[in-house]
Amino acid sequence: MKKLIVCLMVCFSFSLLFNSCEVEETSFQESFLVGKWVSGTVYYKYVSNYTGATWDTSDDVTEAEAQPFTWSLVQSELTHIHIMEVGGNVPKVYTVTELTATSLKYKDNFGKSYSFTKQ
Amino acid sequence: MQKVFKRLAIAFASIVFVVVLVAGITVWLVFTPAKITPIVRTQAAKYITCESQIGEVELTFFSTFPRFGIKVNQFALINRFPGASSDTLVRVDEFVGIVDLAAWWKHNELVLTELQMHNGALNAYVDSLERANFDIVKADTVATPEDSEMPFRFVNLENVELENVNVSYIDQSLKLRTDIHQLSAQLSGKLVSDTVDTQIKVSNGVVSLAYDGENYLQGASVKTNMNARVIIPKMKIEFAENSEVTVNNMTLTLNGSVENDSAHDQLLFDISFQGKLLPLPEMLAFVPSGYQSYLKGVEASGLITSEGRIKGAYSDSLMPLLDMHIVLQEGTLKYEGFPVTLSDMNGEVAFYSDLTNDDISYLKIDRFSAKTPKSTIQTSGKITHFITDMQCDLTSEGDLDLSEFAPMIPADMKTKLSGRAAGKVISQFSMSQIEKMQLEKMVLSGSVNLSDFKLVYDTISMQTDDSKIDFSLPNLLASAKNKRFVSAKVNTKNLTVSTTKGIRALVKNAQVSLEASDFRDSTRIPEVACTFKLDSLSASMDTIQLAVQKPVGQLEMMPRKGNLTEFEVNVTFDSGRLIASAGAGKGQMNNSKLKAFYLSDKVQPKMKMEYSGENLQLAMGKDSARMNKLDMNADLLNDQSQKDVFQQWQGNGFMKVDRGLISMSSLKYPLEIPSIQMDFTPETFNIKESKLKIDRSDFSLSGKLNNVLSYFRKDSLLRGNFNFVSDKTDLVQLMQLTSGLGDTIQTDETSSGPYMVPKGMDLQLNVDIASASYGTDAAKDIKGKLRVKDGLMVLDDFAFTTPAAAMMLTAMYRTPRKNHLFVGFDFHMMDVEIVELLKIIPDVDSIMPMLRSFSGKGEYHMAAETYLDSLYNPKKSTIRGAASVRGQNLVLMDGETFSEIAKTLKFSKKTFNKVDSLAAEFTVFKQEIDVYPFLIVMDKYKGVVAGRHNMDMSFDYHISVVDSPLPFKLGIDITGTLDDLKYRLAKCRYAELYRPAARGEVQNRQLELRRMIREALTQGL
Repeated sequence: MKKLIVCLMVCFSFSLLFNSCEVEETSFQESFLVGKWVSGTVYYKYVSNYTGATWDTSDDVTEAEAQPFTWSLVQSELTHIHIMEVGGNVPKVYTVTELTATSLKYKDNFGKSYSFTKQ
Repeated sequence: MQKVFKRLAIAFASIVFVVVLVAGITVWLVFTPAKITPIVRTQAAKYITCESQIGEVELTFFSTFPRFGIKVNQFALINRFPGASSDTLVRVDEFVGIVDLAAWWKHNELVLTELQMHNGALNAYVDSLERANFDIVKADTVATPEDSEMPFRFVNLENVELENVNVSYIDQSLKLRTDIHQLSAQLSGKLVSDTVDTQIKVSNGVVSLAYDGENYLQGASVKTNMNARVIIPKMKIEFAENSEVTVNNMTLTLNGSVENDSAHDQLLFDISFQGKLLPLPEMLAFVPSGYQSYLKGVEASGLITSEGRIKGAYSDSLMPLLDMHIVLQEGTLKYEGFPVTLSDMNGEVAFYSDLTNDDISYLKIDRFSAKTPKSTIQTSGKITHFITDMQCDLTSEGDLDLSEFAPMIPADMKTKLSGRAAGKVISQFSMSQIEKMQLEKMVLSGSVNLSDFKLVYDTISMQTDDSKIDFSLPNLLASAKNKRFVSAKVNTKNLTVSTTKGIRALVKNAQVSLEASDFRDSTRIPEVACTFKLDSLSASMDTIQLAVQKPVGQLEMMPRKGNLTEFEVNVTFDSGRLIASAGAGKGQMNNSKLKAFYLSDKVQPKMKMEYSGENLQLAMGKDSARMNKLDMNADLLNDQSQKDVFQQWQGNGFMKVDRGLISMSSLKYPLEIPSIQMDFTPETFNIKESKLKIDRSDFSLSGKLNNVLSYFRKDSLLRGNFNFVSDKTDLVQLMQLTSGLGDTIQTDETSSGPYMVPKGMDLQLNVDIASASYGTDAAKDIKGKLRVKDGLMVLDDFAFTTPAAAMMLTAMYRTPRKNHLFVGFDFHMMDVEIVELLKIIPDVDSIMPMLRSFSGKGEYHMAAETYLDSLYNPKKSTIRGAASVRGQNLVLMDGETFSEIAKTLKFSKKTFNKVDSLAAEFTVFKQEIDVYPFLIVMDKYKGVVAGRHNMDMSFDYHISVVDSPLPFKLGIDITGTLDDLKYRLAKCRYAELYRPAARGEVQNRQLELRRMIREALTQGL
């Protein structure tokens, strides 16, 4: 019996070890996102119709040559669906950590953070 | 008996002596000057109206023995007459007259045996009203018409002698002025029955003669020796044979008659004359002073022999007929305006004219020849109508050293001339034709040989060693009625034309024939036919050079039917070898044949052309082209509203190339053209057959290219639809061929820069390639459409087979600018060996290194795109991609990564483990490759793998072990790089991913994204 209790305790401990708590989702105001954001040479432009475009001037790309995407913001989950010209989509999902009228910060599932300011 | 005669003779002589002595004493004592002179003066005053001066009159006997004579000294008649140059009508120092008184007394005969006048002067004057100053006989002594019968039956003037007598005769009514100075003459004559036979011998006389203000003789020494008969009633003088008149030592022998036809107020001439070896300078001195200006600067010598006849009436309206034959010998002529002296002038001329009637007048040049130091001239012919409009019919020959005549060319013409011209010219023309340049009415024909000829005009020079020019105007042997104006034929062994600006043309052994209508007619285009046959032609200008062997051809120009001011031209041209070069460019061909027709039109000129050439070779630097045969027919219309020359000529036709070869430095291998056949219109090129070969590639192209003209007018896209069929194709070489076409700005970077897709065109290539290579990759059975549209190239639905699999590819290559090149592809492999997949797309191995651990077949879909810089480097911020892999019954091999994992997780030692299924999606964004969670079964484990792979080869993967020997689920995070692999236990993130009932929202979202990725990739398959 003692062995069984120890075994259960171990299992419980493992279960505690490998199970995390659910984090309460936060919501951000979608309208703040609309506009042109810049981080260094990287630009993202969000349009209210949920389309957008991104470009990097360090690669000699202008706004007119920007690549399109669609976006959605559900609570803190920011999803970019990059639309390829040849067909096919590239989804990118981020978690917004800050969204104000002038600042945008988000991170991806791999812990990579991004910070933008509005232009 | 003899004594009787002797005594009779002595007695007769004594009687005569006594008679003479008595007569002498009588004259001496009775008829003394003192007695006679007053008588004579008195009698003279009775008969003459003017003042007379008679110094002394004496009766001579001894000085005029055996006849009596009258000697008058200091005799003068003074008549003051208005206008006369002198009051003295007659003045004589001594005047002696001997009259045969016996004849007068016995037979009523006037025998003037002697009349001598010494040192006298006679000034006769007739004013404009025909009143004469010598009309001095009183009226009642003048014989009336009824008394006009000669008072003597016989008049004999045995010896009239004048010595040192000056005569002046001025007739204002006739505008005649004659002065004779120092006249010494002897006259004799007999009057029998109204006929006077006379002999006139002028031994000296200096004559000046002016008519109408023009001096015809000026101090000329005149001598005569002639016998003449004067028939008084007819007022006719007949000159006997060999009558001579010598003027300035030039003797003219004459005979014939001059008659005053008073009934018709004319003189009738019939005089033959002959002058031998008359010096030309003296003859020229006879030219009236008013015409001497024509001889200014002329120095002439030579001997003139002339004979002829003057016959006919002379009056105010008539001139006698002159029939002269003139021979010139050993003449010379030097004229200050003529650069060389003519010598050895010999000629024979016949002159026939009455100076009034052109119809009968002519000057016939039987022969005329002259020499210069280096040239000879000969001419003959006839000149007529020289009174009204001189007409010449001349045949001239010459052998001229042109350098002698070069100074005749005005200096301002900047012309130099040398060499020889020899030939014969036949000419028929009139002076009016010359003045009006009425070439159509002239006859000019001849043949001229030019040798060592050189003509320099300003900056142009022409040179020939040996040329012959035959010409004919009009062209009597015309090939057609409308080319009768002129013909010319030029045969030259060599002819060089050059300019100081570097233009030079050389013709060898040329034969050029030309026929033409009157090219001066400005109301119509002339008709011209020109044929030429040359051994060779070479020309150069700056760096441009042209050499043609055996050019033969014909050029014909004529006015258009119905529009004489426009022309049409027919050209045929054949040549042997033709070589041309311009700068670094060179070209040559054999057997060129050209037929061309050009129709001039102010609105729309038209040209038709047929061309064929063999062995055409072109080279430009290291680039070259060669065609075994080129045929081209074209009907071209000219649109003069277009500025661009290419757009001005719009044509229909066809072109055929046989066995061509193009080598370009930009191409590693030459471009072989077995054949090309193409029809073309201004808008459409219809390539019926076009076989090309580039090294290993060979293909044929057929189809139509439309909107060609509109494309160059920038009105429309160039549209084309071609079938591209090939056994073998090297795509790299093909792309190099079309790189940069359509760029508006061509720079040197074009050849070294990126491949730019042509703009302004919409071309579709229906590809059917049996075997193709792209670098090291190869494919078979390639079928699809290659479309090039305004800077975008699309491989649309290309299906092909590689060693790995059957594939479908849609690719795009767009070149908005050189440093911003778009490339994207949509790639599907339906039944591919995973190993081969990794060979075909090695980058997949970087994204999913675990694939190296699988063996077997699967399907692979991938779409990716990025922008490239001018060096084809991807712009990392623009990389987008998505892929989906499906595999069934895969075999797990011993891969490096999984070996590590297997070792850690204590997998079994089996070499192969089957994987029932593999389904994975991953995306590429910039430098991030996100691998979406997928289930994989290995050994006794089931795991869900997901993570991120970065372009720097670092990664962050998570494996959720959802089924294992362990009683719990666990997760492993694997991070770092292959060289620095780190892993640690972690929460099992995807424990419920493949348990729909249990999975959470996040996992559903991930599966949804996978589905979206796959559906987008496989849409339309």
